[in-house]
Amino acid sequence: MPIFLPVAGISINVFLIIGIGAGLGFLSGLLGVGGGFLMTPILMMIGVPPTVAAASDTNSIVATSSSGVAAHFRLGNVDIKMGSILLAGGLVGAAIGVEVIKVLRSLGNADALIKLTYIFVLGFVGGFMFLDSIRNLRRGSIVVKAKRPGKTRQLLSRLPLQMKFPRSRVQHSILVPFFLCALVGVLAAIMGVGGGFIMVPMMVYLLRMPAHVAVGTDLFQILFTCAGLTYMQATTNHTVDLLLAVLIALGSTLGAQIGARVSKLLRSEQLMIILATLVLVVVVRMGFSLVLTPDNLLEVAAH
Amino acid sequence: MNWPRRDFPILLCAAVFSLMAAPARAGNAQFPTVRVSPQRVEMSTFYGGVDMRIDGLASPGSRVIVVLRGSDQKETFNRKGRVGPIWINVGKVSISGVPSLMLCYSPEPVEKLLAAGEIERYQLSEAAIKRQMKVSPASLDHEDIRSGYLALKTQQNVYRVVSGAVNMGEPGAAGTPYSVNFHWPRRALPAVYEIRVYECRDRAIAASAVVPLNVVRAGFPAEMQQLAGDRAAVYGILAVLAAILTGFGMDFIVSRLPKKRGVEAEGKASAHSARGGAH
Repeated sequence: MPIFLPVAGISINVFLIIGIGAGLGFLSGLLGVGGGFLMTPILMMIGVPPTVAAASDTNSIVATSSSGVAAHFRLGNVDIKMGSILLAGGLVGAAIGVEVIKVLRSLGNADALIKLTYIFVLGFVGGFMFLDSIRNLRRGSIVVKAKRPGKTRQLLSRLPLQMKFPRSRVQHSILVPFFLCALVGVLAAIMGVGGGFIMVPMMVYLLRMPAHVAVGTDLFQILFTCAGLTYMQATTNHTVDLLLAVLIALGSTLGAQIGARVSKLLRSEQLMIILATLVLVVVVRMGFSLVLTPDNLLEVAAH
Repeated sequence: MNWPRRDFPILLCAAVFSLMAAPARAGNAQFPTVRVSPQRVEMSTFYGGVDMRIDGLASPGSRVIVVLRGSDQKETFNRKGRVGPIWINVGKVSISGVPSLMLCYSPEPVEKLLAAGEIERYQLSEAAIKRQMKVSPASLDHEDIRSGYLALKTQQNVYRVVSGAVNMGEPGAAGTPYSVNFHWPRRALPAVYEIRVYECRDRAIAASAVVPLNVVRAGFPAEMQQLAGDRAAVYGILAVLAAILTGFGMDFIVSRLPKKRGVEAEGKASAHSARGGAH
């Protein structure tokens, strides 16, 4: 059944949009990733103008993450205190990242650096997660071992503004999640992604949060970031297609609900293996796209 | 200019003859006639392209080519290039001098109906469009860029050259009827397009007629687009609220669905093991 998208100015099969939304929403609910880095290229592939695809995708992520946050909240997986600090850190990092990108572009050939950063960071994160999860799975129980605090952890525990995060069952100085998330924000801005791929592993491995709480808390901060971005895109670029976003959202919220339920059926190690595999698939695909001769030397420009 | 006085009667006769002949030529110039159905394409909520028919009459003995064309536009693309071992975007390239849409329908291959010069002049083949394309900056004007543009347009279904699509009827007293049926591409953007009907004779274009085709948003899409443009702040808030409501609404519906007991128990056990493992 075709439907005409008012702002995109094109007609698209309604079930195709809902189906794509459902697939990526499932990943969002399961793994806590926004899926933005996959959705925008897919929308462009089916004919949505690039700027509308990016802005409407951000709008649909608001719906997906709302649904995911609600589901995870009921399951006790959202640490609002930690999420607020992460949100503040992420926003500061993103602002710094935007400036870094400006400098890189003025120096020329920033695209190469961005792609290589993408491959390096995601390759490292994905590879580490994959190997660690396999190791934990073989041991048969845990995702993060309760190690005796090392020197770094002892140092971190002496930092000021220590705070307990009962939902995450950890204690950190506020500065630790804030600066870690600011760093992720910088990387996310440079790489042009929401940051879920880095944020969840960072929460699990560095902040020692349980994987399920990390996923719920990540969705919580994504909700606020994307709501702000949607408003800015609508008022400055007029590129948000509400109908497109709602259709994606219908599929993705349903997918996210299923994903959140399936995430409860899986052990943390299994969740991390799935996320790691997804990250590695993206890295390998991107690696191939960099070295293989493209079919067409022209690519529809996003901006 | 001074005309010799003895030539004046001849000139007068020639002028009178021309005036008398003019209505006859005007009568011939009525061909080709063009009738378009529908005359206007309205993109309403469930728009998915439109089945269109263009028909009319042409001069006896002529063949007809029907071309739908969008206005020339400048488009900017990322250009991929090789830096060391990797392919990345190395800059922007702009393409202009070509139509945004070009659907060309003919009763037989255009090359059989027209001489190469005519095809080139009226941009009636993809090769002709490719040759007349302007690439900026000029340093990037390579064959692969021109071919790449055409490939993108063909992929989007907005460039199409179809021979055998125009049906030519038996010539009658009123003229030779022609018709073409096709599906207006749903990817084509709202704009005013041009329908040109060319009469071909002796491998040249003998006459042509033009009618505009308005493709416009209508109903709900038109209202939404107006809101997005004129009251952007309201639209932005509406977009965020609609998304949040959709998310929470779907969550509310799904949370009311019955759950399988086994699945629930397994989920709890799994969650417990994960939480326990973290400490």
